[in-house]
Amino acid sequence: MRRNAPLILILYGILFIALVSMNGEMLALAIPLALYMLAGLYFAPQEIDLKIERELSAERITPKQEVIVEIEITNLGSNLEELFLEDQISPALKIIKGETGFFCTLKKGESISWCYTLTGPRGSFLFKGIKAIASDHFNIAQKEKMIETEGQIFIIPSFTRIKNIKIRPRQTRAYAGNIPARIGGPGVEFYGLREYQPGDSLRWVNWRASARHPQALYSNEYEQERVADVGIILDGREAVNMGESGNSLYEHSVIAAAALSDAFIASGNRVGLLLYGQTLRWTFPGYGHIQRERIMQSLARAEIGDSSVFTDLMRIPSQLFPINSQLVLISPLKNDDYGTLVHLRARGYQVMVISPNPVSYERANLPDNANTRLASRIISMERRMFMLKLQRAGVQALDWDIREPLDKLVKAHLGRPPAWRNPIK
Amino acid sequence: MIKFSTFFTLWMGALALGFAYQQADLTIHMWVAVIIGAFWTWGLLQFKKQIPRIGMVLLSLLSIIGLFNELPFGWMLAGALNALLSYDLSNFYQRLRFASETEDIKLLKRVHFTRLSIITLLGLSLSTSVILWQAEFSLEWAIFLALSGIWGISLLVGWVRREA
Repeated sequence: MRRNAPLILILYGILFIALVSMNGEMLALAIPLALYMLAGLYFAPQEIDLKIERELSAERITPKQEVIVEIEITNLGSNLEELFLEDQISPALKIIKGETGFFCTLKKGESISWCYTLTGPRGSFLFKGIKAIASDHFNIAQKEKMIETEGQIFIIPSFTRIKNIKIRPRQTRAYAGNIPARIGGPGVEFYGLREYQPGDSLRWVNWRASARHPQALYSNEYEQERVADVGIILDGREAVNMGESGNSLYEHSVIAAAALSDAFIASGNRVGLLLYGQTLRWTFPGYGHIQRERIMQSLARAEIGDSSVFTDLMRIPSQLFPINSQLVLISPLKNDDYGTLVHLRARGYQVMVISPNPVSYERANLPDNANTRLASRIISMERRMFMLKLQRAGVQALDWDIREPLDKLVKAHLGRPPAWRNPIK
Repeated sequence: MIKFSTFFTLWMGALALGFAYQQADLTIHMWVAVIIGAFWTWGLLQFKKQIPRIGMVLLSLLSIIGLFNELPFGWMLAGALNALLSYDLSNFYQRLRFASETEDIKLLKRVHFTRLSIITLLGLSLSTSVILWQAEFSLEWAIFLALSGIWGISLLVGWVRREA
């Protein structure tokens, strides 16, 4: 209606002026316009009855990959002279090839298909449906209908695979893995000595110790290696992630969370993910490929939040994580977080912190002058002191300058188990 | 073809009005018609959706003003009719941008042009015959037209309600 408003306005305007001024020429001027509108109304479309099916070349991609969306339309209703279809996609998605809009004429029972290619940033994108607008050839009379169609794309963070992260939680699970379990039994690393028991392999007998005690035989005991529970906490608080210039470290934290989850799951561990930000979003711990997929989908949806409830880390629900398990916090951190981390450590959790460095990140976006350099040095020193303080409290803290690849940093610092065992008694 | 027709009808309309105003020594009005034509051309090149509507309204208003100034009816009708044609073709051209390669665009264009030509010819012949007939525009005619107008408006309101 609003689209035809100028035409209606002119038509009735001319008619009104013609009547008021009793001008026949003015009336004649309105005739072509009136005929044009009448023709449009005469050929107005009937009800829209379309069957639409959408097919995606992939439902799970990384930010640089592309998805081909193919849509097939079948007209189950009457002939449609002009049909304009528009796929309602999120504005964050970027069209690489083709258009989300499609114009055609569709006879009764006829089918037609069109496709376009898109890509986008990390996220979960639901296709709302397709808007169908049928009209006559003059586009005077329109019929509009929203047709629901299924479809969803997960654009998961892309990351470099990390191998060999050595962790040492106090408690492990029953299944065999590659984390030292602090229990004697079959394994690789020497754990202790015990008296020979029937069934022990002769290769395990410690002949040197047995020689000292002629009455008994002693066997070597090795440290069992098992899988463990790992809880990954991704800090999405706006206060720690957003810089002064509006840049965010959060994407880097998400990539780190994806890489670490993948590494821990690949080692056979039971991994859970907690997104801490606007709300708490918990992915229940699990094993294997399905759990990896659940975590990646959860990370695809992860967003920064500025909830006043979660301004500090005090609200981390530690009861979600099995007691004495390994916790990995990915957060740029602020000084107030020290207490919470020490508290978690005191409760028996083995805490590891991967902290994207906000100082070097912000510094890169600021002008290079004496004041900035001095400020940067002071804040860097403060941060270094804070990290040392955390390490002294038994928290395995890793300062990550995001200009360096995470896998390199992890290989250098987490490729061997932490030097301490029970720093907090 | 459509692009050419759009620009052709647009400038035909603008220049017809401009010429009529120039003949009547109304130079300012003539320049207004030319400026509207240029503005509309710019809008078309920039794919601005609203420009054809604005251009059509402005050229039609110039035609009405021309009739008030007792300028020749033929030129004014040419102005208004070409503005309407250009408006329609501009919109059609914008819609055709989304047509797929598999779509039979030639057929779509042919049907559109045929219907538009019929309407144009019908409109022209009716308008011309009305003028040639030179019937006195009496009060009875005015009342009949007013009643027809009210009936038209009521139909329109009903249609809008159904749409809503």
